[in-house]
Amino acid sequence: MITYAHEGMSEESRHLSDLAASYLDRDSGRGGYRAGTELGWAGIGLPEELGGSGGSARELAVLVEAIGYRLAASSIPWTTGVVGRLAASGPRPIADLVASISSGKLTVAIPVRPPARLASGLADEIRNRRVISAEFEALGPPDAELLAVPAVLAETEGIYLVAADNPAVSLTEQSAADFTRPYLKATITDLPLADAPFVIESALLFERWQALLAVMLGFDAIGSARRAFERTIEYARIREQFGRPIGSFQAYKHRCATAFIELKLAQSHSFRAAGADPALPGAMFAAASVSASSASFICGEAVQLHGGIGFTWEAGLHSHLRRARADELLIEDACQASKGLLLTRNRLRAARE
Amino acid sequence: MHPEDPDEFRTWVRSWYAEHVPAQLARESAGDGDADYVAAKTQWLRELNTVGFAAPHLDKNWGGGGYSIRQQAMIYEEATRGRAPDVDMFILSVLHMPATLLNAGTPQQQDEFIRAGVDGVIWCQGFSEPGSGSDLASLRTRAERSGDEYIVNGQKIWSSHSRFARWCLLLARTDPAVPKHRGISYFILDMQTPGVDVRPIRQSTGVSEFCEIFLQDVRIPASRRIGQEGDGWSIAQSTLVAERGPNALPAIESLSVGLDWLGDELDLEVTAAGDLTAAQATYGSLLARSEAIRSLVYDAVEAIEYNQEQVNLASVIKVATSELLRAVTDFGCRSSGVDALFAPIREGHARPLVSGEWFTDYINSWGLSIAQGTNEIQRNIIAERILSLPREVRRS
Repeated sequence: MITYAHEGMSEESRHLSDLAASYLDRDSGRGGYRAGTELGWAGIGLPEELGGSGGSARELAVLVEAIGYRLAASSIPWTTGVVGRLAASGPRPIADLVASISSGKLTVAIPVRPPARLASGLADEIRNRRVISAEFEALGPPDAELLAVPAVLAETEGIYLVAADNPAVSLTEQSAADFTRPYLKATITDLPLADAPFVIESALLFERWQALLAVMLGFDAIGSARRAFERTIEYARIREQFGRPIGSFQAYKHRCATAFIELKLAQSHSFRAAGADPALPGAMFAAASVSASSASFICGEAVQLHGGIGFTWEAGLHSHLRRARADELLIEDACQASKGLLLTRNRLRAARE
Repeated sequence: MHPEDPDEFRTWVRSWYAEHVPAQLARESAGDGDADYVAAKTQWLRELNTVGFAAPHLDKNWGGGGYSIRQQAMIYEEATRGRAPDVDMFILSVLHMPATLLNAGTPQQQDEFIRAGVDGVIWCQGFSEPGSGSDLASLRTRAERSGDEYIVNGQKIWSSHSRFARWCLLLARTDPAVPKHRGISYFILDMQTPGVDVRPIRQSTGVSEFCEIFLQDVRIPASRRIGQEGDGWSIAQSTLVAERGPNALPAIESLSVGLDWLGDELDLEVTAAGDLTAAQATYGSLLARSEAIRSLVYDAVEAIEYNQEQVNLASVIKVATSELLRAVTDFGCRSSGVDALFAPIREGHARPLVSGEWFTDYINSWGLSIAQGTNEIQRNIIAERILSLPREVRRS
């Protein structure tokens, strides 16, 4: 089998990537909501002293890319990659939350709208009555244990992690054009804030949330695109028309080459950004934005370059396109990556002057 | 002596350029007389050589800087950021010629030419021909053995700076009977030999950087052949490989500098609640893409630094950079509006990729997507050499 993983990966990362991808193989039936938690993946990138499994943000990125590659439904990208990392950072890390996420005991559903926008809708009610009532779409499985709710209290940005089994909370499945992954409609009615078992608070929390989520979804998109691209190259070599492989036609080749260029740019940029400091999110937003648009492009090319087969449900190339396109919408809308990139640029520029 | 710590090294390089970049030698160097232009550039080259910045990759005993690959990358970035004049007509002298001779030249050839080249003897390249552009291996310039000499007849084209050049890296066919890649030999041509005629070609931007070279019964001593007869094609690959790695950084840094200028001209004020304007969104995507390409070049630099096997992504970087240059200069034109129109048609020798005269920069951007193997040829290379897709037609 040919693979087109990131060139700059270490030997260990490449090994981890291959291992994760073969473990999550569709036929294995191991691509579900909790995929990877049984192997301790949910603790990767979280510090051992807080109950995490150690390892770097880059290793987590490799796993998330493999999740996208297999279109797995795992909640690790946002549960570990966003909530876990936010809980583990800052002046007051929440060790029991980190430990529970790492062990796979807690899975989080996360809103797919900009947190600041959701929080401003909640502001009055919180101020007046200290209760939350809200309705929004979220990324997460119907059996998630926690729901992340962004709220601003006393001018401090916070993520209130409320229990999904609280009677004031209801999570129902929400059908979505990207069917490869679970989406929910979350309804909260008069939930007292004090009921939230975990609260993460800090300045600029929402921006870090968005940067971390963007990076995770960027890797997911790249994974999806890498698989679609590999399938296309395999097809280009075996499918024959006019008595020769279609991959020998220059018009076809050039489209493959262009898709490859997009893949390499996205991989390189994202893996470099994966290790970046979330307090300086510019690189993360930039990399996620490039990854998202490149991945959508590559998946679209994969559909086209498969011809009629590409347009069938059965061939599944549309699934890769749906997933990458969903990631792109989430990165640009829920995470506001392009705006975050400019905000960061302007801040750096102002600091220099 | 230079600092070893990477941050201190970068600061040292930056301040060296800040102190030494000559104000009177603008990167645009337009219509000066040829002699003045070459003299000024030679002076700048020698200034660079005092710290080894003209050939940072070459050992000190060849006149280079002996810098590590990471330090080379910083030198290239800081030179562009500091708006230093580039090495211009010495590019072959510091890059391609030493790479070729160190790979395939005799010790005598290396001794005779490398140090002198780095010190300011100008070289050019005689590869492309009017009938052999993308299909370089079909070249027809003939070199026929006659005793201790070769007699060369033919025509070369797209040869940058050759009207100033003393020497030329020349490919010519020594055996027309064998398959095309195997009948080519590599020569060092003295441009002052009788029968060499150089005529500048005016480029679409108005400047005249490249030339045609006409060769009529030109005699080259056999001692000035590089490598064996028939090895020219494979040796030529070492000339072209010299353009890999950190050498891509000046172009990328130029784009970053250009994007900084554009950023200063545009209203990039964004509020957390407001939507991006179309111009802001375009600007953001161009900025992100320039960083993505830079990241890919850093990967190549790190692979060399840590001695890792890595697929050669030079073609990927070349296509991505040239297409981004098109997009940035296009955006520069659009955001300047009619103001972009009223720019002079430049004459002279060479121009930078990004000058802020966006209309001319835009016209100039085709240079990068056509030169050094068109982007179409680069895509063939990506598809055939990296993706192993089958060749379109059987080539002789």
